[in-house]
Amino acid sequence: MFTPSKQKQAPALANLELALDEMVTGQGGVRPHWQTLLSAINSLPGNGLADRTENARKLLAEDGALFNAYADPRGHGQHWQFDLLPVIVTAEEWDVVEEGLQQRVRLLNAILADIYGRQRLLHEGLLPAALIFANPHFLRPARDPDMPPPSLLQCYAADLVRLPDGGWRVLSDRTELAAGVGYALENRRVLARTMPEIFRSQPVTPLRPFFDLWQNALANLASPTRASPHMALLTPGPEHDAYFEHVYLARALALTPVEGADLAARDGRVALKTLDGLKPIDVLLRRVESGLCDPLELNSASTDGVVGMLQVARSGQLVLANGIGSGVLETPALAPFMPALCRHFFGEELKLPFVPTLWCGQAAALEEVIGDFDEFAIRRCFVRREEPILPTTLDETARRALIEKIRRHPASYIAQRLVAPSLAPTWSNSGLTPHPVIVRGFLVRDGEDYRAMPGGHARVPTTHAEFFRAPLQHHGIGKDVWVLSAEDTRIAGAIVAAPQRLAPDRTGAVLPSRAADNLFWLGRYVERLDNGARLLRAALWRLATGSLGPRDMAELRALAHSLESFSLIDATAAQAPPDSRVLAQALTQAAAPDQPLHDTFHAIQKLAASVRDRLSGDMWHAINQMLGDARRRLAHGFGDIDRLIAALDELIRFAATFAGLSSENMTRGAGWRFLDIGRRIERGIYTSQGALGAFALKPVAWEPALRLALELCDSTITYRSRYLAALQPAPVLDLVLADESNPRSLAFQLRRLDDHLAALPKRTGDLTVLPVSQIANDLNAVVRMFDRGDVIRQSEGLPLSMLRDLLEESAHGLRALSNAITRAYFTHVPAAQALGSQRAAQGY
Amino acid sequence: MLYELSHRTSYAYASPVDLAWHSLHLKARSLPFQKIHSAEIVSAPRAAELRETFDHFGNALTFLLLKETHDHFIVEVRSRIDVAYPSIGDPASSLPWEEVRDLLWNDGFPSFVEAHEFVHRSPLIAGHPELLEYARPSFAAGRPIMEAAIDLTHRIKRDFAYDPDATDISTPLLQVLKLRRGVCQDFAHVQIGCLRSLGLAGRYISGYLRTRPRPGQEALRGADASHAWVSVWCGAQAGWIDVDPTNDLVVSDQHVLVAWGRDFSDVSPVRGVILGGGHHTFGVAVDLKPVDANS
Repeated sequence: MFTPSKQKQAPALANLELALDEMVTGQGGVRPHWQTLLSAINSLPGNGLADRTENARKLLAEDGALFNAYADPRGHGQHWQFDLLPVIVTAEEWDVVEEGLQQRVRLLNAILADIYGRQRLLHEGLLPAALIFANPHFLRPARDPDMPPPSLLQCYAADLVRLPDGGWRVLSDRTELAAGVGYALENRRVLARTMPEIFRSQPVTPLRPFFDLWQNALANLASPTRASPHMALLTPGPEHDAYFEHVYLARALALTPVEGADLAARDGRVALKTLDGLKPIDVLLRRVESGLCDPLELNSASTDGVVGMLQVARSGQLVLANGIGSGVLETPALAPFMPALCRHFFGEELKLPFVPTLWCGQAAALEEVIGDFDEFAIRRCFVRREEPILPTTLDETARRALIEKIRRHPASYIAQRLVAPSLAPTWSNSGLTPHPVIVRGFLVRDGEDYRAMPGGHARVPTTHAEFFRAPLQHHGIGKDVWVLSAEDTRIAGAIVAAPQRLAPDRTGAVLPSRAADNLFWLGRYVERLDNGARLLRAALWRLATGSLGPRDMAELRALAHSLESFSLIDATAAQAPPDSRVLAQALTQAAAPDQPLHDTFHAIQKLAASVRDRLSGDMWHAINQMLGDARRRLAHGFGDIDRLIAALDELIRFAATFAGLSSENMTRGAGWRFLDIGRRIERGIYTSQGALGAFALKPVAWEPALRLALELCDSTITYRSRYLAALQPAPVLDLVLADESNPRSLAFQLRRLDDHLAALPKRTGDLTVLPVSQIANDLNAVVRMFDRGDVIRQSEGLPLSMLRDLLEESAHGLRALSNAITRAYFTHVPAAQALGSQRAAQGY
Repeated sequence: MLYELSHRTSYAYASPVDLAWHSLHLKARSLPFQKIHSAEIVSAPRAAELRETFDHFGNALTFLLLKETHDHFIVEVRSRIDVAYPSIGDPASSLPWEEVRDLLWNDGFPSFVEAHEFVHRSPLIAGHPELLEYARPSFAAGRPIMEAAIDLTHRIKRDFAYDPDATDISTPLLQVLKLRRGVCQDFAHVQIGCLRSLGLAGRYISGYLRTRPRPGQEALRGADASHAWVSVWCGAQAGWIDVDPTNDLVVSDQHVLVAWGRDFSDVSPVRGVILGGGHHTFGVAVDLKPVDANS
């Protein structure tokens, strides 16, 4: 049975003995709305919460819910910590919070319109000018005094805490990106899948209708003249910490995820570069900070934005959510002025104030702060993500130095009174313990007013810094937030808008050029991984047999040659005697984490992340889980031949799974074609230079060369069933080169490429660099020459040199095709550079 | 004084530029004491799109979009400008500087909001204790602000050597202060930094200065340069006065004002983003010559 025990987890917060407990009353009784949850938890079977926590962890991992996963070449993302116990808020309590948040965001929106318009609030003494003019998030190019902007705040988030008096207070306003809403949705999903039974205990207001509403509200932002507006989500890309959330949110809101490089400002619009040309965008949900959005008018070093975007937004041809510069209101220094501003705009009292905060730029406030120094946390006004300074923790010298600093630049500092946020039960190995919680709430603008998501993303800060700095994911433990519904809404979710009638359309969605590019390379790299694994495995098998006979030696020599041509081992190892330690060592280390094979892993994970919205859940799972597992096994198998072989088997099975899923689960649109083109080109190159690499050696060891060709092309079984006989050149070469019914043959790859190219949208530029029919004819001709008996054993005869030329020509043609496709279909614009850093002033 | 102005900036690129966007602070501001009779911007290649607007500070701002592939870009502004800087009055009877400072801050709610914008640090002018230290000797307690500002202008001219090779645009202000060398842009930044360290408002002015022809010689065409100096806010009555730390003078009839901002980064004459281009070189030629008002 759960027994409440108060722990001071965050010692620098105000005395938590005073804190309100969300679950337990002052008399030690459990509040009614928690009782059903507790009894549901107490009746969980098995190890109860321990098992379920493990399940939740697995689910998060499967979803790829990682932070910074793709920026790390070793693929070690950081999972977020998730606590299964939700924070529960009753419907009545939530009504108060929602009303307060609505008023607050309306107020912030009004202030924002003034700041980026005529700035009356500064002239009328309602808002200190320093909070705007010294604020680096006030972006002057976004201001137009003659034409005040329309609503800049489309979405908004606030961090909330509940104080001992039972009232909620704002800890921070998030007006720039209002990040974290995707995490809230993911938390709910994971919780619903891990502990479905607890949802049956009481009516929890569902989150989904909020996202429907948001999607609809975004569509309504577009000019009414657009019949079906094109909406996208702008993300900095897979390298960004919160990329998972960006993709997740794009899915939830049916937006096309795009990066700055996907877009171009042309002819007064911002458009997506697609295979079918430029497609104008009407509404862009921004996950890129304002200052990085347009290198022409804002930060010129930014590569995340679109040159000229600000101008298009100004003209109304693109609606940005949120508008550029909205982050100016994130400074907590606004807090002391909000009540008066609220009366000014609405003639109302502020319903949901900030935690007590003072701006030192006013003499009286400054004296209050210094007089009561230990009761405050000190922060700089405009620096986000900086740890606050706690005077209580400073020695006398440091204290005096800090006071001196504040007195010198008082307008740069704020002071926040230490508060005791309410506590909620959190599970750990030692059971349930109460911890302080911060709840992030979300609102979106819908027509003329704002609507709050009935729920949120709660965090348990574990240090004081986490409390005030309040970044989302890096610190602390996440929790779901339940808003209990007044009436039971589990059955009928609110229907927000009548769905638009959709006509059947088989042409498929627009494919951004960069997505085509990424799919093409994903196809190539998965195939390259498969090929590399096959070559390595073949070599390791032979090593594993122990003593090497002459045949093994010849085969190893040939394999070493192929491995070198694919850069999997170096030239020294490839030329060393096959039974030497040098080769053995090179082979067992070829899959080590610092070797080229791992670059391929990393490339696959990164490419898959950037086209995640185009892969089915199963394909994503294959890449995220199977590939991740295989990669770990390879790392563990390092140096041990048997374990390495097992890990390579797993890699090859991953590639097969991926190929199967792409063939069965992807519609035959342009995306699938580019994935397959990549695969065919890579496999064609492998067949001609890897699987048949032994034919390039002089002299050719015929039998080993033929056996390897079959083995490496996965065609041994077919050969045996067709010929039931010893290896002969003509039938082997026919099977691996000319037979169009063998999916591993060279001819098969060429034929498929021919079909694909015919089906792609036409482009100027030469795509006929690969003479498919001619090579196919030549392949057949070579097979026939070998078939004429007696020339077979002439080791350097005409058929062999023709074969060599043909393999060479095929590989060359395939590489040329890859370049030609890149030039024709993928927009590789020259790098942008900023001008204007030169000095103007050269006066004498 | 009526001037004819030509200011030409040219870029040469090592490889072709496919597309270029430029933002220009080239057209001079129209002010009570400065009339713009004509101003036009021409470029080669010609702009596919040209848009004229004003920035946050009220400066004229021109955007160009070049769609032609090019390996040279030339942009020139030509204008006729009539300037008559007002005289500043008696420096000795200006307000004590502390009084001006208190007006600028007014416990967080300044009445002179436009001036207040220029009391804060800015992208190229960070706050350093060294600036305060350098400024102090000119700002004795109770000294009239104009006197103090003119004295500071005088000291910068005396203490700093004009040396185009000592600094470039990326040289931090603190480094300039230590080297005691630089160009007019650096000196303007130093003086503005000093004023702000005291809580006063300093504005960066970009413009031109007429080169005095030597006796018996013609003014060299193109020898004149773009220039930079400083505006100091001296209270509600006196308003802004302009001083030139490069030449130790109060601005009168030899300067033409183009634009103002917090520092150079707000008013850079030619900025842009280009696709391609590779390495580039650039050149600037300014010609500011007085014309006979009757001509």
